[in-house]
Amino acid sequence: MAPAKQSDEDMIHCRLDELLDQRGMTLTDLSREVGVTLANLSVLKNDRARAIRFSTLAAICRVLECEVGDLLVIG
Amino acid sequence: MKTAFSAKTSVNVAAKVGLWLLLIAACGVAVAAILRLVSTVGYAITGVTTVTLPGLGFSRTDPSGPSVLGPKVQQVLHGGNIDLVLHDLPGGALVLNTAAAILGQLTTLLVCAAVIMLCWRLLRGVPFAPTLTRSISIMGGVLVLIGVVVPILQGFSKLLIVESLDNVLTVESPLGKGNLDYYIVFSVDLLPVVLGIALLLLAAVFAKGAQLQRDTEGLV
Repeated sequence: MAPAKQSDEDMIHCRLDELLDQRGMTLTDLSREVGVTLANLSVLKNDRARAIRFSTLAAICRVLECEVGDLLVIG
Repeated sequence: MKTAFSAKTSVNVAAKVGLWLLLIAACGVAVAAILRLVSTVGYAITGVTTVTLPGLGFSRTDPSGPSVLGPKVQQVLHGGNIDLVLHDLPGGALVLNTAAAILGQLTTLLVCAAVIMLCWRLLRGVPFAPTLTRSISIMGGVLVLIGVVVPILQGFSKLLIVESLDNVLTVESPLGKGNLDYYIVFSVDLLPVVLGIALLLLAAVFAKGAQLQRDTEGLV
């Protein structure tokens, strides 16, 4: 059970780096706009997050003007 | 929004101040318990001990004064129970009585230690640590054990003391003599057991909290 769960989590990749680069924003700017700590955004950016709140997801997509599928991809 | 934020900040500050006050109070009580423990041992060394015994005798008053029960008795204080101030206790009774008194003070120290640890963890913002849960569990177990052991020690001590006194079974004696079971039941104090059970339940709650905290690790 545990190994299968870990591999499912590893399949999700967060494209926060690419999206920030495209928009010329830094992680600090995003943290300020979204209201999520820099540490948590860094966890998300480095694919170390195990779960994400809908409120966080919605706030990031609103600020970056993107869809959820642009931010999170499988593979 | 600003008002709500100010109210929340005020509550946080008040909570922190309350925790600090509780921590300082617990430290004070712990110091007092340590001093009392030292004085208990000191009194035991001098050989003067105050013992509360059930008044099983027929006579409620002792017109002959303390001498009816022998030279060990310095004073007899009358009430529902009989408080005796004794010196030159038999060795076994002195050791058992002192051990029971020390374990009784240990109850206070353990509860203070638990309060201090909890306050410190809450002030640091990391309450659900495995070490804290383990420590609280051990303290709770020890308190329950103390609640069981101390009455047994005191029961044996009281029986030895009564057996060492003179004229206990005479009409003039306020004491009378019971059996070991009676003295053990007379010495039962449920407070350490209740506190121990409370700490064990608290440890279970903290263990659940730690599990929930682990489940939310990595949640952004």
